[in-house]
Amino acid sequence: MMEALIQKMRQTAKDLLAQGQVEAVYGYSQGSAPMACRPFVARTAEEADGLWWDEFCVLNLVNFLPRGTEGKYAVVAKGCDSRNLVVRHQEKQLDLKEQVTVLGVPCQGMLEPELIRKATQGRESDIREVKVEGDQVKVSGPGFELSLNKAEVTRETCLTCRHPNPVVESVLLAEKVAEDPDRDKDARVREVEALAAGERQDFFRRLFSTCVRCYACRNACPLCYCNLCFVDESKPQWLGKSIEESDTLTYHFLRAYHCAGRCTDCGACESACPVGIPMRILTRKLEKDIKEAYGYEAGLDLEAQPPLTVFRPDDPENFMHE
Amino acid sequence: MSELILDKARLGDFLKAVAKDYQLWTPAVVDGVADYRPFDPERPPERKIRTRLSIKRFFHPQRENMFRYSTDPEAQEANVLKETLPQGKTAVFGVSSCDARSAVLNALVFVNDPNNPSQCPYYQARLDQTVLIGLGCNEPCANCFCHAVGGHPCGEEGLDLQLIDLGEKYLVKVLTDKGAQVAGLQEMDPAGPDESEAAKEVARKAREAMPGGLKLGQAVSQDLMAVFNLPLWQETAERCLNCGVCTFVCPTCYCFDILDEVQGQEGIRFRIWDSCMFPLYTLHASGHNPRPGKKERLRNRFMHKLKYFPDRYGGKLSCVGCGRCVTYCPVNIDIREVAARMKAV
Repeated sequence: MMEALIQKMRQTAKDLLAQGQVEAVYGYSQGSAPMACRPFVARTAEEADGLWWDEFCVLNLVNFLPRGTEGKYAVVAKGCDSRNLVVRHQEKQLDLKEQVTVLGVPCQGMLEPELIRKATQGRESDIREVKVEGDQVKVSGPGFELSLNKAEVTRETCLTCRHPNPVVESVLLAEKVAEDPDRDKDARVREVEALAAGERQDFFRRLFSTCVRCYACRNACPLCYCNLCFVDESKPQWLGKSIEESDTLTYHFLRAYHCAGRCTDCGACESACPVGIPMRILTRKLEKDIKEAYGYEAGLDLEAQPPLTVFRPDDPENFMHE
Repeated sequence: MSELILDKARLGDFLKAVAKDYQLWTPAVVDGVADYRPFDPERPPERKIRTRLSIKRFFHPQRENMFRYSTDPEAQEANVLKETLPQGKTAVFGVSSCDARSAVLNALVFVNDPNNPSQCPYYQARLDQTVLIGLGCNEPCANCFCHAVGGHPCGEEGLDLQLIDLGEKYLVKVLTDKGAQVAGLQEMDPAGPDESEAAKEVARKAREAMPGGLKLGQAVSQDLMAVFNLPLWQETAERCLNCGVCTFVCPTCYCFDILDEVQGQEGIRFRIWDSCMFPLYTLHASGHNPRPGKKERLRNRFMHKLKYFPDRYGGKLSCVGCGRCVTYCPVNIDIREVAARMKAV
């Protein structure tokens, strides 16, 4: 299945490039290490042969796109990525109608290298090979072999995904998959909401206790494209840069708030984190709040505006009356 | 240099004895993630565990408080910086040979720079107060390459004690006086010639198993500007996120920032890990930044580690081949590939 998809991806890219319809095709190429994910730009028909696709292509390619509406290009996009294309179009960072060709990939769920690493319980640096065989993922290295259930190492965001099919596409690279746009993905958020205030604070302190402030989460996020991020401002300095707990929590909470109404839960942030912090709980809470307050989901409607960027007279105001 | 034998069954006792005199850190798996944690006597390490973050944190911590001061005009020593040197004896168990070398390489910058007489008292204090107990590698990790950068899977550089896994027991090599003090905390029999040979065989086999054909150091003999201007940098930087993961997991990346924070009238001046990937790195007060974009920053990292550092420090690369950057780079930028292309065409 992957083979057919890859062939169609390469052929489509070759055609687009050879005919001069696009200047570049943003996709992935094969990596140099197990579970690697290597973004790749093909600019000629020959280079298009380097395009690749597998279950580990977990980053969001929208993050790598140039900003601005000049220059035509194509980009490989799963459901979540395609919604980020819509968000960027809404925010006038690209033009989905005239500029961008979307090579849509209906997604069957991607695997999370971090979950596979954690499953080895400390042997992650010995992983030599990871193979997907049906509903099993075989992980092996010197002296060990694990057979993991695919569902257990599928990205959490994929397990509850409402929109696996691209919401915009110029070319579909595979058959659409079944989807349930009303599926409940808020179970974990409700669990944390139900915690008492002190317990909830402990939960978040523990969650971010290993953060080293590398900002991989921010840099992998297609929404974080500010020319100068608030954490890098120094005059004034909004928050401390060290791993002081209150500063670290402030960074994560504020970044999540900047994504409210825009985040598609692509999970690039969690995938990029070198210490495996599952920080999507913050953006999922905001996703739930936005849905409840504004009836809005990010990246589904080209003509819509994210709710926190516009004012409507009928916007909910209950938070002002508390 | 003496060699002793420690039965694996007695490792727990040994570590408990060390923990009485030192703050002891061992690799442990918590929530699936392997890292150095304070020694838990209930759960001594049962096998070699390679940690995500290196031992860099013990000599050059993510945050190092340097000075305290009061801004209260009534205070006796208002606005005078008072040094806050680190205190306390630390022992780290299970140190890989690659990590141990990094402490020596970084020391060249902080305390042993032949071109710079000033020394960092914080790094020196931590060097003085820390004992490194190594555990040699019986086989390489998936992405490591210590042998291509001047190291060895069972290398001894930077260690005070080196343990070699012989199956049911460890051969314990005492390498320094500090190491002898630690080894003396537990009764251990001297190693016999068979055991000594077995340890050499482990080291030999581990070295043989390292991957071949890697060229990490060729830029050292190349013309600097020729390598600087290669199209390699633009190509590689295209996918770089400038996220800083590589610099943080790397044992030999040591750049830092110094900041002051004042709460009320109490101030602390401290040092934190900085990264050449961050936007404020080398931003001048004038507003000019000689490394304004991804390409310049990414180039800086590789040139620093594989060219500027060896040019300055007698040919030694600022890389110990641990492979962490390869494993954790979110976009799979691979130093092995980059280094192989760092030559004038």
